[in-house]
Amino acid sequence: MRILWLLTFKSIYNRRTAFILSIISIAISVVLLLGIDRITKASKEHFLNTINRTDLIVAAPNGSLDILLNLIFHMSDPLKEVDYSAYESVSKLDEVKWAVPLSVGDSFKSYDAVSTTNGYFQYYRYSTSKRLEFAQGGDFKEFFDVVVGSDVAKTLKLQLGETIHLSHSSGADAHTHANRDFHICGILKPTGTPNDESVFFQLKADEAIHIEWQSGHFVDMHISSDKLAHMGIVPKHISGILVGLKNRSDVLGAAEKIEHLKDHNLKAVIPAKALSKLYKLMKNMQDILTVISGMVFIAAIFGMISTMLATLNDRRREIAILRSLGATVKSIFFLFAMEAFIIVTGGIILGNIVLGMLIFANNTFLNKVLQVGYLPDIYESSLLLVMIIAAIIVSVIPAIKSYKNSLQDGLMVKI
Amino acid sequence: MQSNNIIEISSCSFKYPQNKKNTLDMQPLHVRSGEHIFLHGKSGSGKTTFLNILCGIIEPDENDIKILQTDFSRLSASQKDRFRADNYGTIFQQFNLLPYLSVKENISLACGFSKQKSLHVSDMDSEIKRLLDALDLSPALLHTPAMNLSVGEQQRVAVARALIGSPKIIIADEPTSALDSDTKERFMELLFAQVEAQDSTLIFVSHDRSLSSYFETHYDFADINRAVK
Repeated sequence: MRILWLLTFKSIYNRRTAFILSIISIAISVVLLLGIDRITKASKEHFLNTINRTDLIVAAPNGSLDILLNLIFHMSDPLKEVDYSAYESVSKLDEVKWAVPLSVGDSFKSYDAVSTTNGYFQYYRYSTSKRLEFAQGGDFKEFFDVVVGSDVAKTLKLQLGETIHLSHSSGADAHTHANRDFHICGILKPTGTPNDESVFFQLKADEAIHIEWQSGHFVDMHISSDKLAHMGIVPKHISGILVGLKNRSDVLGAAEKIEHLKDHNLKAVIPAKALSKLYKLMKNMQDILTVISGMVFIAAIFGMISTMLATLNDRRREIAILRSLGATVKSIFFLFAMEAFIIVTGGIILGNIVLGMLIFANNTFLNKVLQVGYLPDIYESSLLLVMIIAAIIVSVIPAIKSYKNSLQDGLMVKI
Repeated sequence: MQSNNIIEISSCSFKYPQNKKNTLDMQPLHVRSGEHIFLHGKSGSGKTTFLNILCGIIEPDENDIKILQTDFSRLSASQKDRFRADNYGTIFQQFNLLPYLSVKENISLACGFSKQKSLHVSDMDSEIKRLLDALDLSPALLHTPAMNLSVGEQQRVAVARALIGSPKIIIADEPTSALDSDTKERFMELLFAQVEAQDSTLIFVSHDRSLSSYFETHYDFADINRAVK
């Protein structure tokens, strides 16, 4: 047995270039296989937890996906608005612990501007109950304060205290509220949620800057921003409400109650349900990636076999010599299986190291935001185990070929 | 009755699957213990097939062979592998050594596959040195990779490997054909000295009749293989 190990190592060392290339090709497929698996899993987890600890999202009757897309992802067509009084009624319900009003639809450059209250920063949770944290500054203090998401700040190189101007509506028909200066009071830390690409300002400021808008046209009323801030403006309309309940198990009852509130026509959506519905749209993509990485894996195994077969002719003499010395067919199979094992294990170790380094190099996003781990989980470990077993099984192919050669050559290889 | 025949072939025939005719159909052949046999014959006379059968690499069709009082015909393939490892030393025309192993590793390889051979060697290092010395090889070659040796040196290292662990039977298949005439003579002398010292039986196959003077027994393979006629 010892002699076979020695022969395996010496023989591999003798063919080290092909050997190293095989290891690298296995390592590449391991990086792809594990990388795709780990990142899709982490992004799924992250996506499904885009918003957490919010038990209900309330808006005017719309499709539940529309409500989710609009209020949480700040996409899709504008929702029908609801009266601000709906927010007041909802927050007064016994079951409700907290409620945060939202209005979506304005923009800042190509980013979404969301108007809300400080409650948003207090109650919004994502991932495993993480809260929105400020990299710099803090929440709204002044009337015209604005909080910017991390991507917005990074891309536009915005600083704390800088003045920006929001736009009415978004896209081609956006009109900039050039006469209303907003000041950046806070910059959020990266979260990997739509918050990174949004700016936030106060609901009352939203109402204030739209005072000069009448039936879709701007009418300059020559009111100074300072005066506007002290006019005691109350919001009239909002897009929706985020609701946290005192008792999560009341969620169905509370939804029912909200939908049947007198004087209001509302719809309550459970965000986790809507998110997993939305995720189904992306599942195909994930399946395709899994299939691709599986194929890469199969290609790597075949690559390994083909390099083993390619060196087989060189090894004919080696095998004949070993046979003449009394090596059994089993020993010859052992040599090939051992080599396959070493190649595939080496590839797996190298692949894991490379993947770890890639994750580490992208530390802030992959590791901190998506929480991609460094070590394979049980599923990945079993994939790797399958890989090792598959490699050992298919190493039988060159072993059989070599055994047939040795029968044909007898003890003497005539080359 | 205990005979002092080391190999007794009563019958042995073999046909390659792709051929119609038998390649081998042996006359009875007996080899005494310690005998040195010279087998010569044209290529295609079945010499190599015979050696492969004798070594247990090829399974003959109909056969009755006893080697070292063992019914060789009854051994399974893996038993034959074991038998070969324990009782045989083999030397070929060329490429006897694993090029990436050192001289020492190549020689000790024979004991790696056979417990019996390694039991015969009490001190591997000194035994290898003794063999190198007896075969006129410098001890400095001990750790040289086999690929750096001349052909003549390689063949002598192959002899050392065949001899180590004192196997009963040494099989040599054209071991001198790659050597020039001076080294050939030297090779034969060294081989014979060691085979005699160990009291091994030697079966030597070659088409080179000039070597026959070293042997007491000669066979033209065409005479002992009925299939050739």
